[in-house]
Amino acid sequence: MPGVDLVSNLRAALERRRITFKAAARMCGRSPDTIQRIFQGRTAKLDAQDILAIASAVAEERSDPTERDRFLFEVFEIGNKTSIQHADLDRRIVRLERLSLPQPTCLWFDESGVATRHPRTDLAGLAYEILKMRPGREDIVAFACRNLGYVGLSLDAVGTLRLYYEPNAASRQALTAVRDWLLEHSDGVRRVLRNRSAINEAVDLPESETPSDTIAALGRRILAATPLPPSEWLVERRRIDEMPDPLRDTLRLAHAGSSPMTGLAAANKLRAAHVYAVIDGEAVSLQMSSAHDLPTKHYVGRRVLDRPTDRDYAALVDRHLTESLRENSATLYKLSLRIGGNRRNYWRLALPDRDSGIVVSAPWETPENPR
Amino acid sequence: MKSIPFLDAFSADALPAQLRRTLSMKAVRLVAALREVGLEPEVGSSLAEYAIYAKENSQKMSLSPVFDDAYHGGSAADTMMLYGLRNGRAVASCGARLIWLDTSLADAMESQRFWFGEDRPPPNCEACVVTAPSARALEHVHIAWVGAGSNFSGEKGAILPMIRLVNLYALANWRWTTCVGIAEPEIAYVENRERPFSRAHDIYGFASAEADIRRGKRRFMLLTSPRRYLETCAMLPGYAEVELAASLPADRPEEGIRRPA
Repeated sequence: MPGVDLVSNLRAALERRRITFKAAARMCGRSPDTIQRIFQGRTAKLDAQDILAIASAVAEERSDPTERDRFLFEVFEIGNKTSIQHADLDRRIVRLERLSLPQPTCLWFDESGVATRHPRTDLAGLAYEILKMRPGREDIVAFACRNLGYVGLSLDAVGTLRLYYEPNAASRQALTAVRDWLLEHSDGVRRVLRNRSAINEAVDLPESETPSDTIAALGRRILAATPLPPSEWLVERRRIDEMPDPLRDTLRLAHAGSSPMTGLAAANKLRAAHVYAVIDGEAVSLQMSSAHDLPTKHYVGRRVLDRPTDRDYAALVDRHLTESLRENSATLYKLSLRIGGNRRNYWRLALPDRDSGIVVSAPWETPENPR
Repeated sequence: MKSIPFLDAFSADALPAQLRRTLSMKAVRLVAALREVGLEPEVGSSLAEYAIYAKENSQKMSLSPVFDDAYHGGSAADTMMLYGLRNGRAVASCGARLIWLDTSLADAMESQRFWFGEDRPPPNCEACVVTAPSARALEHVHIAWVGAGSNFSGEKGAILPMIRLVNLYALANWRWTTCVGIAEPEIAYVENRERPFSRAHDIYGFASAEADIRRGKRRFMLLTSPRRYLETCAMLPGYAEVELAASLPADRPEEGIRRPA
């Protein structure tokens, strides 16, 4: 059940009924220490059957059969209580073999972005393993961040992720790999604590932030760390009727569809069409065409501006997409780029759908490319 | 003894990324090598503490005036003393000092200021005569003075990785142009008869050994390494392998020279 903080809910439900964790432990036949460890986030071994047992014991104690379901509704955050039959609820709970708490883990990303993980949260121990040395008295986490450019990450059982890195030392590859990891695992993360240098956690902890804040911050850091090749762009906005011939038909077909996206899908004429959403004024990639053999996982789900390379191009694409949506009209750009002495010409088409905030975009290279 | 683990003191963050990572990995390997023989490398900056250590080890070593707290005050900015600790007790040492040369090194040595500082008149000691050419050329620069190498009996294997750790620390933490030290000829020379001054090269990692620096009846070789040379040596794969020489000839850099056992 992603998005539901079961431990917090269980704790709140118990507190509302003035049930101590010792009493709760008795109700589910576990030791008080185990329940305490669960509440402190030191273990994730809380079984759904335990919650059921506590709910039943609460109902029995209060001689109120409906109390069991109320308790369960609170823990599982089921809002529309009347629409759920009790049998359904039981089935839901029994199907849950383990609660969807994140598994504690820790990872190091080395300077090439290669991750080494360990199913525990001892980041220092893992660093010693990676460096193949016996543990000593030093702060090996700080050393690895400061001097080796590593990025460390630890996730505890309650979804608190701690990120250790030195902004000026972390390599672009390591930061990119961390961002990829966060994009894939942010469901289990409740909050992120970014430790710039891990010398003293207690002193140096910054305020917590959401995973998406961290992803954006890492994106900015990656951009700042990326040496950009010199490029020279010339951008001209063109009228749609200037579009090259076969594509004009595509555009007509696209307009015939119920939305630009379905129109393009039906037309199936463009070799590559990418889909973006414009969120808070910034374009986010939703789907990449496979026509360019681009590594999809590097783009999908990200702000266009966060692309690790082609910073100028990313800014241009972002501008094109947001402009198209703002004007709610198909827009066409002609681009001319000089790379290594060669000039390449491109077209970019953006088809907006203001109702959904979606923009379909298609870039293609023109056949006439003067050298 | 107030000391901190070597890796906590080592900070290469001002260096270019590639150099920083490579030097740091070499430091990790050398620290690991010391731990394998049961020694814990720790760094201090107090010359007074070093004097206590040197007194304990007085049968084997004489305290160099450059590392003597009676003449120089050391701080973390210009002094690092590396100790090899066994069961919490220092059993080996090596150190470095960052020194600014107002005049040439030769002038500073001959006037005794280099050895005994400027705050007090030099003790009634024998004259210093410098004939090593490099000592005349080094002026108005920062130098990293490496020395104070010693070990308790039975701890012979500690010195080599510790000297390399000191060199790495000086490269990472300080800015200077030349690494300088002195050694008696028989110490600088022996090790490999086919290669003169091979100990100065292979163990201490210096680029050259020049005659002479005479202090009274004692004669020393002047050992020097330009920063670039030491950086190049430290970047080579074999630098953290204690069985390989610290400085390598240009014709076989990838192999390294295996030191005689």
